[in-house]
Amino acid sequence: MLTLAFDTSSPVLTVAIGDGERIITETTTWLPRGHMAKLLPAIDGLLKDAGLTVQDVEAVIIGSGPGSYTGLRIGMVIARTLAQLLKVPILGISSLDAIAQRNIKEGALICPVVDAKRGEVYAAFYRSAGDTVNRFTNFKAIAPDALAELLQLEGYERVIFAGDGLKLYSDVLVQVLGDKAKLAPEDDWWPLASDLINVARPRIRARDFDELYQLAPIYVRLSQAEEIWEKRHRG
Amino acid sequence: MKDIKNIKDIYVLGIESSCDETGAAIVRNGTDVVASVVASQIEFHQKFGGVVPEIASRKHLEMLNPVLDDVLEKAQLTYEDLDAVAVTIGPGLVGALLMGLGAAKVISYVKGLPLVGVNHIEGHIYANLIDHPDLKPPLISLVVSGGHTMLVYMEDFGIYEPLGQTLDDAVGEAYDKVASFLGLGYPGGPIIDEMAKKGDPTAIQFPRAMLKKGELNFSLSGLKTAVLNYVSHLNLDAHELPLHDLTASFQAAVVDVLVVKTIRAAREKGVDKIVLAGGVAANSYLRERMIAETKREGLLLYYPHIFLCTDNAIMIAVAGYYRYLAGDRITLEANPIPNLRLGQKIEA
Ligand SMILES: [Zn+2]
Repeated sequence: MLTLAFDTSSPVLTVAIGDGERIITETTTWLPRGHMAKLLPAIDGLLKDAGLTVQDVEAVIIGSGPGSYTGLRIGMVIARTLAQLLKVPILGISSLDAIAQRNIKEGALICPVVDAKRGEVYAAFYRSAGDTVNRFTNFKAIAPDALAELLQLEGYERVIFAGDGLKLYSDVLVQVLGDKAKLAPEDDWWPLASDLINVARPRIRARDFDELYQLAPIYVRLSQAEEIWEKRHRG
Repeated sequence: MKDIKNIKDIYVLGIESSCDETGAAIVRNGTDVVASVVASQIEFHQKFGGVVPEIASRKHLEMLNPVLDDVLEKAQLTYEDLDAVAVTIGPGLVGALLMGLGAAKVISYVKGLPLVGVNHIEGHIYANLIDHPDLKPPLISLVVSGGHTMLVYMEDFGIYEPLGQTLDDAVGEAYDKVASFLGLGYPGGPIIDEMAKKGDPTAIQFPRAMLKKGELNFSLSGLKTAVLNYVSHLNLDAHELPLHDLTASFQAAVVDVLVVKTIRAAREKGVDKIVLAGGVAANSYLRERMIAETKREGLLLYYPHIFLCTDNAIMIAVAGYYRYLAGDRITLEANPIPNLRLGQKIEA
């Protein structure tokens, strides 16, 4: 099954083509802004280089966040409309799952930390399970010191952190967790399209796809206007 | 529909997502509406008293794909029957514009269709061509909506000279603020229009701002303040307020200025055609007064059907049709232009 995967939730633009089992090709570029301008040309270029056309695509995999709201929506509207027009199945894979997959290590707890603005990071906890990762918490938007305290209380031996939250908050995490905190190098902070395919593999094998109209980005938080409204009206 | 399709017919799919309506429409030859679907988000913004950009973007993403399916289903057409995709590229909320543009690009890419970027305001003006396909510039257009209040001289198709605009609130915005202050709800336009029908427009003398000679700009914040002051001086409970007279007098103050300046603009440019455009063009009192005044002045007045006044994709398909014929295209690299001006070249 020829799968096209991409993620626009982070400051990189990443597109990969896989055949369901294997990664055929991938392109990843640093792109803090401009996903709307560059995504379709990147997809088209990658397909052409592989001797394929968009009509050959048999499934679309989209990094569904959490991450930048605007970035996520650009990827999602393009993924959804591709699946709709090509009449192929669509699969949303969390961008944090992809980051965890990239930093997989036997026996360690893996915790992606993605800058969520407003003094928080998006995070979830993972353990390795063979050659894939297993997420055993919900996605949260959490202050980095609260996250570190939580991990400290749980008494983990070794926690691998990865994501652009480290640029801002690595000090806080190390301060609380000491040697137990292992910080991934910057190259391994981003959700790569090839890792989306790697995470998706069992679901593709099982033909376990998402409902096109239901598939949405993982925002984690309400819009700010709704948050304020809720606070004012629900006490 | 398909079987009667003439070889020379041109079908344009329009997509609109600049504010709080998700729209898709198919228009044949720039005048015949084959199908149109609009998913309104008003209920999601109501409790905030205005459009929340983040919520608008989220809803557009949810609604675009179903709306596209619906419009093709209603039209009994497939993408293969289309000749071009036209999409609002600006002005509007950037996050909202991104959604329609993303979907339009994919349709263009997968189906190999020409992609045309449309100015949303131009779309509002072109909505008049549905009922009046022979309408030709030069003309004066009064564009009035929740986000815009401007007078434009349209010298020819695609050639605009802005003559005046609001220096503070847009007309629709002033209606929303006054309605909210009077506790009437959101959106203010239709609510005030309805309530004012039972009131006396001469009951309260609110100020007519900037009516001085030659001036074609608008200012509405003073009027809004005048209503606030008037009400607070009445010192009445909310339920005792003379709402009918208040709304009628407020509306009269707004419309007086709009009418006088629109006619002044026509005289200044020496044109005899006046075109109303935008959501507020649906306002019954504005229409009434414009009909009366243009008749007295010997000018020709055009305004779209009510359903074509508020944001929709029909107007985008119509404007897109003319842009398509003119050879205007955008590429897969196009970005939204949130502050796009009328007549500004769309380069992407
Ligand atoms: Zn509009």
